[in-house]
Amino acid sequence: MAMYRSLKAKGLNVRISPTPRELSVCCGVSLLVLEEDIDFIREVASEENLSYISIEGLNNTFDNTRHRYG
Amino acid sequence: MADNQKMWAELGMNLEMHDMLCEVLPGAVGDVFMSQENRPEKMDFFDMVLADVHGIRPAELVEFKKTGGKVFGTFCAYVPDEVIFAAGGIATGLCAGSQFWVPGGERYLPANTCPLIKAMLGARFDKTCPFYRTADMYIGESTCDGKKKAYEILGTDVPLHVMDLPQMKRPVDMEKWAYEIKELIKVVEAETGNKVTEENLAEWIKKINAKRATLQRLYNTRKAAKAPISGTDTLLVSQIAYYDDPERFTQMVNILCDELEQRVADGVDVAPGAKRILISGTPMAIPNWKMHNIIETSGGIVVCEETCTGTRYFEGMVDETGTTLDEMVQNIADRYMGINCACFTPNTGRFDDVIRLAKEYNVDGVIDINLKFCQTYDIEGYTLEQKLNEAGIKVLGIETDYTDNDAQQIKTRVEAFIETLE
Amino acid sequence: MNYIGIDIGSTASKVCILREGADPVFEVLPTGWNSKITAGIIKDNLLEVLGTLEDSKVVATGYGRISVEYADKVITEITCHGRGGYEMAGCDCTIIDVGGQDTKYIQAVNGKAVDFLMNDKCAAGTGKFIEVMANRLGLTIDELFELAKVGKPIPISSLCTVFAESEVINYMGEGKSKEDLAAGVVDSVALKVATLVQRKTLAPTVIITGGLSANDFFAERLSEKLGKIVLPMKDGRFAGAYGAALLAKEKL
Repeated sequence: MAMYRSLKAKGLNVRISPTPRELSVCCGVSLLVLEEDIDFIREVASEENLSYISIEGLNNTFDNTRHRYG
Repeated sequence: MADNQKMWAELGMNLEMHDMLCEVLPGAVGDVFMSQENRPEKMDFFDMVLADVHGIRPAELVEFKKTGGKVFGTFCAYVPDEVIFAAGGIATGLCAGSQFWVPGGERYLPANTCPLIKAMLGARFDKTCPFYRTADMYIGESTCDGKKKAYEILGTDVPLHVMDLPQMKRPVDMEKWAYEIKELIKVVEAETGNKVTEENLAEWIKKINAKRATLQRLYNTRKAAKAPISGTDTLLVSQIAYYDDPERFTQMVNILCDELEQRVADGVDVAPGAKRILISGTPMAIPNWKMHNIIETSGGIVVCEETCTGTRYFEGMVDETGTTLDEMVQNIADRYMGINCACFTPNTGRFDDVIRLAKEYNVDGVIDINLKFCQTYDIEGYTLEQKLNEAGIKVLGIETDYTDNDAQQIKTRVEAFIETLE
Repeated sequence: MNYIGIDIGSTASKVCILREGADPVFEVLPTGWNSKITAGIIKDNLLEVLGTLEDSKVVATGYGRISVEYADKVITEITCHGRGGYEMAGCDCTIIDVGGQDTKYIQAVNGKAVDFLMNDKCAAGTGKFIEVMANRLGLTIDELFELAKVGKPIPISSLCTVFAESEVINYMGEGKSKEDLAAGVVDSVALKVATLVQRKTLAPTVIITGGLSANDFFAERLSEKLGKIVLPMKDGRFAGAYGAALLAKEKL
């Protein structure tokens, strides 16, 4: 959450999302970020001593016409 | 995150099966919520609650229970949260909005039972919902026949108190509901060991009213000609209203409203050119976002819901001027009996509500949604359609359940309906 | 400029080409299992006839409408049937479309669908029902209608296509005649369609579109059930494609 607030304050396009299943088996919280912002995020995190488990790239798209609701 | 697994295990959940539920959530949330353009920033709190829906709030409830607190699971907008919180308990909605739980419920119930009721039993007996596991006691209500009889089965596995909701709205029924609320007070007092007093009840009447007022404020922003927030996002807020801490929820919705009111002032429009739709009908428990998603990807924008996850939940305040317990209980009874559910007869108030809301929110059309096998709303749909036609308001009736298989057929109808509004 | 309407239905795909100063040209082909392939075949056929699609406006409709990647616009079959049916009837009308997987009621005013209703419970009042039953009786659909004309309808009461099939099997076991069973099947569909549309108001002119639209016998049975004359339409199955082509002309 601290990470989210800090990145938001810096004007980045960030969204809170459930952790994708490819990355963790627990329903956890992740931040969705843009690929081009990743280096900047690593910098911010180390400067402000924010902790994160990892940054992973996923080739996922959101498809609002899939109509799969579980 | 490993803490979640530990908590779920301690709650006696079926972890393997629950894992299957967790598997579908990120994809569905991505498709339904993250794909939307121009979302309000302050949806972030609600995104977080949703992202860890079985983690954050259940953990709070578990902590509360460690201090001796009691958690009451509820299923319906008629159950008065005021008295549960006044007795020092926590009321939490038990949702039942996923197809995931339906097969579990079908082991106990006839196939032609509504999916909400099936999911309710499935979530309990499959041990795949931490809210169902955490609640010390369930508070049911005799709204429809399906629920009434299903509570008998549910009650074999968990302490359950059923409130007898009248089916008419005569003065004698208002008194009867006040009596039922007094019975509920006795039940929660016995469970929590705390007394409901004039002081704590007055305090919680105010607090729950404040929550209603903030939801009304949220809905008011949707009356603007340019919609500042999607119906899908608002539905999520309404769903979370049932189980989040009421005071924090009020605060968070107010923060969201600050942003939305600014958006209205700035003329921000999340769905330019979309047709304004009022949804009426049966409740949409989390994670049932199907109809909102279909409508909002078919050229529509949902600007109001006349449902239990909409105006029926928050419209009407409890009169705060009562000084004695009797007065307060009667005031609470009067407010809840003002909700117009299809389980009542006659239920002309609902027709008036839908027509009024259609005008207040300046909608292009109404989509009346019926959960499959919900007999009362299904039958009432006929008269509702007539009344709307008489008022010159276009309406489309849709019957559906939680499955995905009719999504394309429904999409055709919704698109065609929106084409007729042009 | 050419205006082309493509209606990819569940059973058959229909195409309508509208050219300035010429009568509409209709074409039909089976949809098959993949509507994308069907859309491709239609494109090839169009190119053969027109040479190029550059000076054409294409509107796609029907359940496979999204498979027509070269369409300029996608419009639902309800709006298209409303437009095409209105043109065919020549006045405001009620359109009853009995399709391969659903049955629709459409109220068309000034060429616009203003109200509609679709069956949602099951396939009992649709073309699919007739197809399944013809199959069971070892007949083609045309043969079934021919036999039905001389039979005395045996009531088939099941609301579900699967159960109705078992009902027919029972009757076959009892040695009932094919004619009577065929008449029963047609009657049953007519009754279910009538029950559906009677929830709504009928205009003075009622027409049938879709696969059964040119079938006088079906129109007759349906008229009887509705107590109102229902007009068969020779090219009624092209109403969706025709409407799509007209909308391509008017909206694009």
